[in-house]
Amino acid sequence: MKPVFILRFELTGLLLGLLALLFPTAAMIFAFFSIGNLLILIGLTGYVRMVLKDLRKHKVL
Amino acid sequence: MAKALNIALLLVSFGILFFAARRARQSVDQPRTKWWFLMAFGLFPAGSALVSDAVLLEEMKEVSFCGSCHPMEPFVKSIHNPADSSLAAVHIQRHLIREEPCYTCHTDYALLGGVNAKIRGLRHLYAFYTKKEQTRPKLYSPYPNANCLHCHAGAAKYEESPTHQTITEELKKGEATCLDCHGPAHPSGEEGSSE
Repeated sequence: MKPVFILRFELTGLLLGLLALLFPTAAMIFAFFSIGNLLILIGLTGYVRMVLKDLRKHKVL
Repeated sequence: MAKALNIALLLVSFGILFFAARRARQSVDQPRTKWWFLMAFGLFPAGSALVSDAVLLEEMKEVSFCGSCHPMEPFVKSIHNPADSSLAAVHIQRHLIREEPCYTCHTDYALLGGVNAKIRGLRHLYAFYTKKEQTRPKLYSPYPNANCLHCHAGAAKYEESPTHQTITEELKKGEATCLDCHGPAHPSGEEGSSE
């Protein structure tokens, strides 16, 4: 995954988290727990894959 | 305080994300950029998400959170109504429960009881947004006596009551419920009044 995609996923997830904190209604918290966390998780997975790819490229792994 | 710190952490995460994005445009392969990536894409988002989850799980205990869904309005209205005689309203108006009244009664006092309560809450919310008819929410299982006994068991007023002494076993087995005599827990009317 390219850094720009990781950035977009994580940024959207964190933005949902910020909105849920500023407006803690059931709808916002539900959105963060179901969508925000998922987006951050996708971003983190993408980052880990990027690091692993980099390590293989440099023959560390 | 925790909420303010969490918002500050999220803002720092945004800043680091944007800074890392700028560095990515200039030089992706430099070691320093990779350290920025570790902070911006790994540590700060993961930390911010975990802290936000914890803060929001605490936020979910507040009455304002429960009352933010339209079908819950009669329940919230009733507990703040001095004329209401339902069990929940009496508990709150007599200051028997001072904080987080919804959560205090609707969480199970067991290992992972709080987690189960929140999962049930999310199920209610999912049903609210996905079902066309938004009706009065109902419990998924009968209200457990153990939740009442968590506070009342051992109290002199409860233990010395002749009625309680005769039905102690039935209450423990769940053959009789507290609400049989002390109900309704909440008003049955839509306007927040006991019927």
